[in-house]
Amino acid sequence: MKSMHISRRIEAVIAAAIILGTAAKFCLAEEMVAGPLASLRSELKQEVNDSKSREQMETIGVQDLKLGEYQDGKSLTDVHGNRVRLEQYILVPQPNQIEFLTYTKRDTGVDTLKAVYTLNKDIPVDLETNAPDIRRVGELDPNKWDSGALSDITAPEFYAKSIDSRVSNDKGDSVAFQAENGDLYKVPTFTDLFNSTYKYDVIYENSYIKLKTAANSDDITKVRLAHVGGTAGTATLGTLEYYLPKYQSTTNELSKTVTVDPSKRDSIYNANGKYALVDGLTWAHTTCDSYWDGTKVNDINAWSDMTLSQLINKKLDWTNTVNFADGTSLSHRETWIKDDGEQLSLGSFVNMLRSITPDNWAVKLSELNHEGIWTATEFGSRSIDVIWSPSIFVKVATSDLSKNK
Amino acid sequence: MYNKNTDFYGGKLKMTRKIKFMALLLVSGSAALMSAGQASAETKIMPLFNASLGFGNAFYLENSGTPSISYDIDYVPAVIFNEKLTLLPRLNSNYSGTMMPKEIEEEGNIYVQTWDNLLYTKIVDKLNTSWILRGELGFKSELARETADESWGSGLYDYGKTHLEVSMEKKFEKPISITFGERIYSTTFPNYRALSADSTQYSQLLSGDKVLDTASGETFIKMEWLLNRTFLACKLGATQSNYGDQKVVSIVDGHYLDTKRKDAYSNFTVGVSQLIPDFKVPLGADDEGRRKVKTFLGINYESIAKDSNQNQFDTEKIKGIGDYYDYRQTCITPSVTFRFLPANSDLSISYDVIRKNYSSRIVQDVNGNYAADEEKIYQSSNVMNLRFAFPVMKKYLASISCSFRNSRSNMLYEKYFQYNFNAYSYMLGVGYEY
Repeated sequence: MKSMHISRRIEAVIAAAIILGTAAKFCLAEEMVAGPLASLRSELKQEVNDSKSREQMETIGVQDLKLGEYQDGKSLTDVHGNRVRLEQYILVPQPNQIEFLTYTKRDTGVDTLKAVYTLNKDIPVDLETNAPDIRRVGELDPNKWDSGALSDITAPEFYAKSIDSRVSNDKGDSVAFQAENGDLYKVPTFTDLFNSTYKYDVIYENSYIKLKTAANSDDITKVRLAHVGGTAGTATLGTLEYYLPKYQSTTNELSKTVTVDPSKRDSIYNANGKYALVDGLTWAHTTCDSYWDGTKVNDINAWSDMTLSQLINKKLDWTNTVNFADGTSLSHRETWIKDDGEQLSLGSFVNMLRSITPDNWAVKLSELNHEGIWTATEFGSRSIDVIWSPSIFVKVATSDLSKNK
Repeated sequence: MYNKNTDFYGGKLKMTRKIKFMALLLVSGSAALMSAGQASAETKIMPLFNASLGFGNAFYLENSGTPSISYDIDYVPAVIFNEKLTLLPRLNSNYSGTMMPKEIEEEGNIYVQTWDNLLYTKIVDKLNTSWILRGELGFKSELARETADESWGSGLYDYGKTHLEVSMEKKFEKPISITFGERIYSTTFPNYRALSADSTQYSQLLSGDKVLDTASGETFIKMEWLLNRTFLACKLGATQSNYGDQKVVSIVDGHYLDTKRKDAYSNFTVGVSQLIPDFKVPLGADDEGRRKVKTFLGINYESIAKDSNQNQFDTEKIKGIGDYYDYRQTCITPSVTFRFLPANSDLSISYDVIRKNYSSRIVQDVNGNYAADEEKIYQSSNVMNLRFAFPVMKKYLASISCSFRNSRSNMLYEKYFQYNFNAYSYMLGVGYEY
């Protein structure tokens, strides 16, 4: 479902409503002079008008309160003209934990995104208030970590040792993305074609994708990724083992072992034939299908059939579906939406890029409104539909763990 | 910064007691008036009726809305007990529909509709030639539909307001009067709850439940002075609003403190009006000098200051901003009204110059990045209003009005809210007054 934010127009709507409804203001000078000279009837009218003007002042006070809600982006309208409310919170449940919590409310219910990051050390305490000062944990976003020649890079002060994130609806369905026992490794970036840039990144000992449904309150593990080997703090990265549902069974089995290659986290086609989980590789009885704005794009040949015009009109709207060997499937659709409500097309995306610098493209993208929709065989016709914007969860809570980290 | 000195009530409990006390006072006064009325043969009822119907359209940037209607009906059966005592019960119903253009996928418009209904009673007691006592008790309900899925009564921002006001006016021998009084009111949003309130895990930890509901009190004083053809009026008011269920957010880590939000709001208004000498309009040979123009000149200045202890924590940029809702606003409105006689038609022009400065909010660029020099947000607006009204038959007045609004700000992050825009509107109306 497409969604958009047009609440930014509300200021004008309210302005127009006020303009249309306050004809009395035109007569300001006349009333002020005529009032004290009035007859009994006019005197009574003056009493009523006094009350009216006071009432108007209080109405403006309520409008002021509503404007504050709109300015904070708490109350939005989606592409269908329906009310969407967003609330976003940051909590510190433990001294070394940060929790992000968002609620998306539509007339159909409230969907939630919750992500708890357990850091490698406690959050520094603000000396004045003695409260954890999460503003000093800016390095949590890997995009901000230093990069450069391997010998130059420095390890980030803070990183997430474990992540427990979950999207859920209010019908009892949820999808969890979890990672545990993470360590820093020196990894080449996807621009390693030039073999010159590196960065620190976190590789987790175990990562999971799990489902929970109203009918089954226990988590069902759909994917487990185990990191084997490697030496923390070095460029020796080891391998990843994929454990997926076994054919015609409810248990998982080791399906594939791959060399850790950070280039895959950016979904870039690799000439060596290494793909992320979502990139369309068939392993045993598990298959992955990727759709870009309705077009199946499982392999590199998908692009060759498109004209340039078709490409630039494609919306930034991806659906990745994993069809597991046990006959179930899990689908995640992610779409990027401009602030005026349209889904971004590749063409409009390119135009946007032309207005910004190479350094801020990731920031620019993260400022777009994101909508994530999850469906699964276990959910039946129900879905989880969350809108969010903080870039910090976009990276960790939804994308990375579904790919080969 | 929030000022404890303006915290008149210190919480909802004291406010409730105050409302009860003033209501008791008002009810007692009403009973006394009714007794006086029954005992008097002079009692008479003078109905005041006013109704207007409007049809107009609004334009936002380059987009046109769809023409829509509005109406206002006001009925006041004034009960005049004698020369001193008057009771003014008032019923008012007001509907406003503003269809704004497109940008939503299926409907193509967003239709903002409000429907207000108000019931109040006002007592005016001229104690003697120098003093007038006024009391007012009222209730207002506003229903709002701002989105396609909201029906009447289900609007997120529907609200109800109960108010009580007591004031005294002192008239001096010179045509000067001073009024001082107290107005207390509560505002409740029945359909608005914090989303986190439904979560058993977080209901106590987070913002609160009925986070928009407030209990407020205003102390005011105003002065009016009529000197020949010049009229001067000024008013000073200070309002305290207590949010009984909205917790203050920490600027350090975004968590909710035990402190509840309190807003202090003050406004100062001064206006001068001048009736300048009539001038004749020599049009036609048979004019015989009957065609004249009366001119009313006016200028109004308003200054508003809002101070709140509520902060904001930006979860996207991990940044806390203290006193987030504080602002100062000034508005200067020159106006002129020409009354053409003997037709009794009016041409009115007014021009608002508005400047709003946020005390703490920091400017953001188009990407949402905060300004390194922490420049604060301002918004400047200019609004021009034009109206031409003319009688079409006895007690009926037709009008044509239009407005132009221009708004500019140094705030460039408009993901959620538009700070820079132009808007226009027009309205055709007909009114009846008795």
